[in-house]
Amino acid sequence: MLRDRFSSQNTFLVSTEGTKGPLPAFVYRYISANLFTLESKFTMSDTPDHDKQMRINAMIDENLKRVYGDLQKDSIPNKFKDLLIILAAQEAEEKIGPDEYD
Amino acid sequence: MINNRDPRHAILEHLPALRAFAISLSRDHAIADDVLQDAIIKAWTKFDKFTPGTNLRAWLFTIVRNEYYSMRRKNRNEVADVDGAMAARLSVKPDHDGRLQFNDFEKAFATLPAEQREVLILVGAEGFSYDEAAEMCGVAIGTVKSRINRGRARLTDLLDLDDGAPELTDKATQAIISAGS
Repeated sequence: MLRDRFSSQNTFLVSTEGTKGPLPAFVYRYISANLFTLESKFTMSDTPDHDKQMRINAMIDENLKRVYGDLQKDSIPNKFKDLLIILAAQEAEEKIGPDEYD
Repeated sequence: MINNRDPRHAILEHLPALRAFAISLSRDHAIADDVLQDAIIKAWTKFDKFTPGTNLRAWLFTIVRNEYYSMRRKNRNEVADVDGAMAARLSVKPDHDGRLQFNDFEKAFATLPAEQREVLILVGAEGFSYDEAAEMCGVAIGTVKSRINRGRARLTDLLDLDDGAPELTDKATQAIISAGS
């Protein structure tokens, strides 16, 4: 499968079909220069386990969202809202300055 | 009272998510609340460091994250991640629609290192991009991807998902699969 796709997408390689011995040097250069791309293109998405892994990942993410979503439904303790109010009040007090109270 | 025109007022609406993130990181409500309290004070007092027009939520998450690691360094209170005993009890298979038993998933997730938990939450649950997560965590994108992959692999292993993963039929999950294909 990999060979078919590689050949169909890279016509210059078709000429190597059926030849014996080592492939031309430019082929090795091409593979070397595009190793990462080729790996991700042919190794990841062409494996039969890819769809299964995608399903598993989706399942994990869905459960993660569910657990995380449930955590967010917890009511926020008032102390945090109070803290914001206190911080705002402190800042307002500092802006006014102690002299203003005299 | 908080002045509604003060942009810091927006912190309030992010509190549920920030607290959930802190709990996910610390796995302890009391520690999470301490982290959140320090993060709120820091966000409030250092708000001039926030660049208007950028992502406030990401900025706040970054503060929570940094406060958590700062507190962890100070207290050394993080329990070593457990692999064996807890994992051994995780044997319940997902039901037909792929929903895992809540406690099993939570337990398995809690065994992951904090560095994996945080990126899974940020990307998987919060929907931040890899790029954003990388910036928030102060690491390269490749590191984020690697941590996510390791985290998912670990969860797959702990929850025994690799062996007979069910076909997922709900539309939301199928949409995710299609988008990722």
